[in-house]
Amino acid sequence: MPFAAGYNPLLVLTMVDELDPTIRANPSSPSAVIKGLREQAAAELGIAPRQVMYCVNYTSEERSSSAIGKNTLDILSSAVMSARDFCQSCADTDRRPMAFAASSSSAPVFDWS
Amino acid sequence: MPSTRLGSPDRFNILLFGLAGASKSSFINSAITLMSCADEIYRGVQAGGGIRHNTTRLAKYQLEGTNIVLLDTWGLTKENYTGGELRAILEGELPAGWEMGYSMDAFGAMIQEHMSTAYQRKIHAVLFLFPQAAMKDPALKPVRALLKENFALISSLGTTFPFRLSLLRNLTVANDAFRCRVQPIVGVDHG
Repeated sequence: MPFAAGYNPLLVLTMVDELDPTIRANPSSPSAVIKGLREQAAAELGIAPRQVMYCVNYTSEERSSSAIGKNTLDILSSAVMSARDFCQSCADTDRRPMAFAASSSSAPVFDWS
Repeated sequence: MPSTRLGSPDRFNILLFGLAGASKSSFINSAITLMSCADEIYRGVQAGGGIRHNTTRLAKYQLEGTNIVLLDTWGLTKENYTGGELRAILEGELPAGWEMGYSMDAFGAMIQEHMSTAYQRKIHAVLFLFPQAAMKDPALKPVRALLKENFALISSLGTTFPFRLSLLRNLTVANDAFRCRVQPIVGVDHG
């Protein structure tokens, strides 16, 4: 059946450094506490854990940090992949011959007699 | 809407949505810092980190050297986003600069005015930012309910079931008796 899958939002848990300050130094290696929170959030929303990310933002730093930059990049990358999938889904729907519902004026009329 | 515009946009519009004070603007500062050549941290987007609203308008930020546009929104509370504003933002019907405080008349007029260019602003992905503290605190159960409600709403939007809806439309026209046997469709078509 042709359909556009719709949005697949990503949940980003913020301020995780308040829970575990060590994550600021290396956001790529979350502690068990953060992993547990991620799983809890996924369970709460009924989504896959890979749809839950966490973010560490700059607070009092004077200079940019590669660790925080990497964390930001990971989130942006996931968002772009989600956007690409959404666009692909829309394009696939439009290419299929039965995808006419968006424009009722062009919808063919079935003969059900 | 031509498929090439939606299926192959020249940029990705990514919506940052979430509770007031969930660090949406801070994340945009981090993203701009990441994409800039400078070593200094960008702090141009006003960020608070508290419950108050720092972002009062729909604001867009093109990341330098990329085809990524981030859209910053007014923080979600129980009192706002009650008039279809989220759906309108996702569909690109509201322009940058739109304020949550506008009247419903102004909201409707703005949608009409910007309908023809909505495809340029249509959202392609959503980042739902949520403070971790609200995930654990038993007292913040209503906040989690707000999260679940809006997360489910976003997940349901942008979906189209063209074949099924058109088929049912024609079936019901062709045979009134069929209407009695049609089961309710779960979900809503917002395509």
